[in-house]
Amino acid sequence: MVLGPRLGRFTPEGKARELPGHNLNYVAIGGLLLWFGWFGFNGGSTLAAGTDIGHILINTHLAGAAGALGALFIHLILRQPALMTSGVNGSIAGLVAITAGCATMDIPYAVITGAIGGAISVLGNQYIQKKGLDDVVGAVSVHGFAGAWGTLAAGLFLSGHLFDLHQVFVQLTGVVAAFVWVFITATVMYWLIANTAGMRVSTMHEQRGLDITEHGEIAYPEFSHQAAYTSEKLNKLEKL
Amino acid sequence: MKEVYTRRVVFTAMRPFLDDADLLAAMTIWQDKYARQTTYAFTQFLSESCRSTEIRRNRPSILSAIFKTLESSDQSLLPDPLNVETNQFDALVESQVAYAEANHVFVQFIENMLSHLGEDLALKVTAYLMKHLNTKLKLDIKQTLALKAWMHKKTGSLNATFDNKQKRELINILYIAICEYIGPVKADQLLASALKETELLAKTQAVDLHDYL
Repeated sequence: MVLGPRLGRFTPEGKARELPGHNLNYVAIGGLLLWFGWFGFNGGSTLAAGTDIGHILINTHLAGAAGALGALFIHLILRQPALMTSGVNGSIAGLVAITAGCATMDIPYAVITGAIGGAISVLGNQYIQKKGLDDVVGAVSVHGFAGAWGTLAAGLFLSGHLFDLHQVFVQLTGVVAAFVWVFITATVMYWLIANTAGMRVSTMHEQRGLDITEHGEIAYPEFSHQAAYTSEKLNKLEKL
Repeated sequence: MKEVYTRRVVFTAMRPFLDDADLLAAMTIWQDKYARQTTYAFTQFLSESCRSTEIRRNRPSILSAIFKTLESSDQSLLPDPLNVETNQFDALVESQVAYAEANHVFVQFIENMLSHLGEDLALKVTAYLMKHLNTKLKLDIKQTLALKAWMHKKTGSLNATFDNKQKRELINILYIAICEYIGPVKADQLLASALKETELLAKTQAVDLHDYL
């Protein structure tokens, strides 16, 4: 919102234009690493090694899997192609959603929580795009929207207190408080940075690519025969 | 005699208002169409020769300057621009040729970029450049006029001097516009294609295209 979209992310009419990632295999590997890391994250959050860790880990794993399916299923309902990136994002959204209630939810509810989290990640991302915001990896819908859902689900599906509206209200208070605090402080912080030190690179940097202007090397030399900037010419470029 | 005198009048009167390129264009029009007319047709001549909006705004002042200069003495007039000895007209032609040579590779590079877009998109991209010229770039009036005249295809060459930094910034604005209209992925491909197509010409002119990137 403060930074603004990347060059050409939206058409002059305001329609979102897809800027695909460079390598889908890396996307999948990244998703897998996150999924694996989540076992340590959720399992380790109990701060004590007990028998309940098994329950936490199975909840985490199933919610991640259900998240991927939930994302793909929502594409099916919307008659859109089931993208691999959506599957990966959906699984992360499922993991995010189950984090709040991983120790207090029964397994079937963990699956429901993950699946809804995955669906939310797809719908949330489309909503963000419609609003003209450039969320490069869909982080707001995955961590924000699915996270908020997961926090509410922890109250809704609390084992022994299923559908207890008082508990849901407590969770909702937490979600609103976290949102208000983070949104205001983060907006002020980013606004200050943008208007003092500067937060966005120049359009010349965007033209050359940050691999060249910030790191002094070409990130994808194997594709340089199709690119304006090649390794041989890097030293001859005028410094910005 | 009368023809030389009137030409000097027109040249003297217009000199303060027009830069070299525009003055050359105006004098060419005068010489081709108006110099041998029995009655003066200054208004018609000015409407034809004042091409840019900025100059057009000065048209009443230029017209009044021409009438005032008609009444002034012979000594106060500038030398005849077509006179070989004073050689001013030739100097203007030479400066235009020099500009054309200096900007040849740059102009070709931009034309190659625009040629990939198709006529409609090229027009939109050019309009974007014109719109953001003054906000994103620091150009003097002569450079701005030359750029506008060239972009609107009123001159075949870019008749002003631009340093490499300005050329880089101009191409960057075009790149931004192309990103907006066809997206950054295609814009990168287009930039690379234009570079390839201009490479040979740049080599023969000993120009490094990466100075513009």
